[in-house]
Amino acid sequence: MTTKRTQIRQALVDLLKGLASTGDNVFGSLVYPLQSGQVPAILVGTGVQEPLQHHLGSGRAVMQGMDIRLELVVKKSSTYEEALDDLLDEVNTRLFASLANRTLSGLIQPINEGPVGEPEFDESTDKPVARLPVLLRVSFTV
Amino acid sequence: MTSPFAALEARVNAAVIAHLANATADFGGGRVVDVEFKAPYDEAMGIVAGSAPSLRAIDSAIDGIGIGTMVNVKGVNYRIVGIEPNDAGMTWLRLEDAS
Repeated sequence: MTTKRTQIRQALVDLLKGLASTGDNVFGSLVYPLQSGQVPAILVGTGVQEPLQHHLGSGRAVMQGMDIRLELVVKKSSTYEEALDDLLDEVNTRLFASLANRTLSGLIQPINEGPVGEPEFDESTDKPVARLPVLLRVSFTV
Repeated sequence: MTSPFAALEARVNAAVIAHLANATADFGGGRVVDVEFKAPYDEAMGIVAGSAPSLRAIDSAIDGIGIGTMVNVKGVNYRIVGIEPNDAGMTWLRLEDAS
């Protein structure tokens, strides 16, 4: 059986595919480094999960909250920070385009825009790599 | 007058480049220099694969070259992003793919 965490992660990957900047370079789990044809990219990771409401009888959680971390990654000779900003705009436009998108077609309660983390830069390789973390907090019934 | 050791150092550096040069670096304006070039595999942030291109040349051959200067090596245009002299007559130039 596919767990709700997996369903949510996969639904987000599917939802974020097809953006102008990243195309199909959206990955739900990353084991090997991204190759040249795989950037710019969006990495989708599920994080901390905690029960929000419990069933009075069984004590099992009926509502869970979970952190999701999107990593926007670009590799460019110049204007990499602008590329991250453009990609962030594309992601937000897609995420909040409709109620269906905000709920991942009913999988979760509507997503609200979350904090954007500090951008990071690495210039140790042939072109600078920049990444921007975007944090989302979702809640869902189990 | 050149000191004996400085002269020896210059001869050794010339011999090193003569034996190890594996590319020519074209800085434009007719300035073409024999260099030791390497671009080993490297990763950025542990998540993006790439390479770390650099070249080594005799100081006198790259005199006046600075950060931001463009150079073509093996058909690829690079921008110089780091200059690391060894204080013994040779310098590594760190390169960024400018394509």
